Amino acid sequence: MSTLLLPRIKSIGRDRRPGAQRRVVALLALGGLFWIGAYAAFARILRHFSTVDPDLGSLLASKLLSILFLLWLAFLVFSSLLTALGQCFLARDLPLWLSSPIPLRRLFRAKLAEVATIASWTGIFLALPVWVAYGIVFEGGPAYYALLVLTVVCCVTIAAATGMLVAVALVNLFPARRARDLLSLVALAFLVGMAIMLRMLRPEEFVRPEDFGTWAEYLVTLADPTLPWLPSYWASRILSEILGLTATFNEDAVLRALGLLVGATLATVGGTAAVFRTMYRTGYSKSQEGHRARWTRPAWWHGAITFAALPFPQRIRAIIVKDAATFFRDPSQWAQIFLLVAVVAMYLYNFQVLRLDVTGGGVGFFMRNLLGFLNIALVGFVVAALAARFILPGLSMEGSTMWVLRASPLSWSEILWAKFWGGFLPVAVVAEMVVLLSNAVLHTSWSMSILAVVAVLCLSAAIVGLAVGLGAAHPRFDAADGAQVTSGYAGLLFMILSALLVFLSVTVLAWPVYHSFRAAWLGWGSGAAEIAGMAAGLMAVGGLCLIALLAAMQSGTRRLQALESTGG
Amino acid sequence: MQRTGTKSSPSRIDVSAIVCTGLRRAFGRHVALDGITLDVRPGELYGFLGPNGAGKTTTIRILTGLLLPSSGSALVAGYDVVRDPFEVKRRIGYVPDRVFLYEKLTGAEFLDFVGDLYGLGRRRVRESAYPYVERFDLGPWIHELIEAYSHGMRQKLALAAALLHEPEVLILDEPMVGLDPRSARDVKKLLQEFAADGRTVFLSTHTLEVVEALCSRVAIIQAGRILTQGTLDDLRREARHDGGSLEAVFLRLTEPPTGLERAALA
Repeated sequence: MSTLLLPRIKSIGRDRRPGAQRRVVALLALGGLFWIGAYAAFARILRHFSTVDPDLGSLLASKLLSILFLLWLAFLVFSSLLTALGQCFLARDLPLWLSSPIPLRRLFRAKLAEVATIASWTGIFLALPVWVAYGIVFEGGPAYYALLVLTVVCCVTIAAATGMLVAVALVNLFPARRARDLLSLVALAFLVGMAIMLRMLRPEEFVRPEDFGTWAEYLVTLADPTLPWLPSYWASRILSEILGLTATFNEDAVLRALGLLVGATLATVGGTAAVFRTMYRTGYSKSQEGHRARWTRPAWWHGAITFAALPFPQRIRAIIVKDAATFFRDPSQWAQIFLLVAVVAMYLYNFQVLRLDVTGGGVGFFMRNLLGFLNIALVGFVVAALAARFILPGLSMEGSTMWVLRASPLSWSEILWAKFWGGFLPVAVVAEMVVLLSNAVLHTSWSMSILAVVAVLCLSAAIVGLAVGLGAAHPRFDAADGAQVTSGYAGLLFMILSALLVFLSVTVLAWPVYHSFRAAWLGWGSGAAEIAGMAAGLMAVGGLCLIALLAAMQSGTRRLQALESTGG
Repeated sequence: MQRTGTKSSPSRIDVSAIVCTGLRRAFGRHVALDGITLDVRPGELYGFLGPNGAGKTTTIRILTGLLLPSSGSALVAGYDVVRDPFEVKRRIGYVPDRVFLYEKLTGAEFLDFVGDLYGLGRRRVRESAYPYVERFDLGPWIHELIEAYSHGMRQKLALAAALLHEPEVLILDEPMVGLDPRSARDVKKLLQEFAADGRTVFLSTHTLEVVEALCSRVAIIQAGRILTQGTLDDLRREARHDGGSLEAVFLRLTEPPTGLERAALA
């Protein structure tokens, strides 16, 4: 197994690209900051639980741990499935491995280790501050940390083996001709599953004790195990018991959960190994089959995009239409569009279930408009998430086809502006739709609606510009997919700068919005002073966004020119 | 040599199709091109040969404006690749050694896209590229996604795209790799016609038979330096291999120096 993993292990730390060390240091610093922040936030929440009521606090902490483990395990299984499809059926080194006389059991062990490591390291990194916060707040001794390591190893192994099992089965059973097409279906199934699971848990009920008939009923609901037949529950039960979050320490329960967890790990690995040995070669062979001849007639969307791009110069229009065609014809992107629709629907649904009229009258008005104002920031973050996924990797994804653009009489600036317009138009439409719909659901005032529409337009332009500019300033032309760019240094920097821009914009708007609220509260209505204040605020935000947009685009252009001269 | 154009507009120097003077390119401490000098005339089919890692692709990347030289100059179709890269790009057609195309576009859409990049209308694209599409037997596939194309079909589509704006200079990096014998014959014939039309083909390849059959002049590059350039007869004379095949000449000229020769050089 070690021989098979050697190339991957040896390549760690051999990034010789310019600025690689700087990127590692920056990533470590940012990761450290995130880690400290997440730990502080969680420790504070857990301490707050304990101070409210020790018994209730323990119950809440235990419930929270079981829900977090459930979500974490679901994430691991999903991530493992995607990784398994990639590593077992699409990896570039597979032809070399499979043409060598390597027994399947060695291949299985190597792939299991690979899938477990690749799929879980981010999940472990993100969850670590939470686990440490539990350990410190509830004074978990060495036994807690030892059992934590054991439960995490078991969960990661179960997730990796399950991911491989499902991947092998899917490739064998599904009529899809290529494994890559399955990725989108898997992503979609996972998202639907997660949404259903979250709705089943109804987390909002736990913070509304008044909705329960009696206090006892509330406590019983809290103590009710969360999906007790899943390894995530066994893991959280072991840790809850050892941390003293249950009424009395139940040694039998710990041993039973431990036995179930270890037994399930061995059974999953054993079962997957057996399936892998019998079905892998057939599956791999099937996944290599080519596409059937596919004739493509002009679709309605092709005409619509070409029409929408008509105002642009011919060369910019060509790139916009090309990017749109490649996007819409890639099945792996469809799941992301479904995801987008699901996120927007859930977003609006959450506004719908908010009880803003409980207090009624002026407070209701204030709350609705306050949410309408904060909605600017929330939509800003939605735009940032969209841009991070779809626009930031755009230039890197040109990768091996970049020669087509570079050999033609097209400047870097033209290429980047084409990428900007191709990204800005759809993102702005989605963002404005979300703003208008959420304002309609919230019944915000007309002045707040106009403010939100204009502010979100400015933010969308700046965030898309940041995505294009940073994507160009830190390109990864060797990236296998967009996720590698999004999860890398450029993605992190982009999210931080976008969050900063959104924060600054909302801060700039806060003062005129406060005065406008105050005038409405006091029954003065929106006078010339309030309108002028809002307009000035919007102009300031517009200026800020324009500076961010132009600076990012210029930085991207300069970096690409520099790369061209250094040959990087 | 005649210079045209005004001070503000790009200046064009007529006479040669490609002129490299002391062209040097370093990547960090590694010198990929060490002051190469070339002169390719209009109407020539010029072969560019060399062992792996000799600097052929680096030269081509500079000539096509994909990479800037560290020093020296390169003029293509009369324009400086550093000062007037867009004028150069308007006048050249380029097919790289590894042809990556947009998998999710059809062949026809790809040709339209390239036509748009050069500012050509749809009609011009049909008139310029489709004769090549038919000639390369791509007609039945032209409305199919490129992801369904074989390597050879992609190569032929890229060549059709490189020709659609009617370039003055065609720069090809290993154009015969992956082509079946019939397609290879068609491409050779096309290149001969292109050169006979007074235009220039700059061809980098390891297939010495192709160079022998097509090229009027040849340059051999090794370790970033031009070892020799001239007609095939010039090369044979230089290698003291009169009447020998190009392969024998190439191997003779590029063989590593013996211990005695190294000592003599030292």
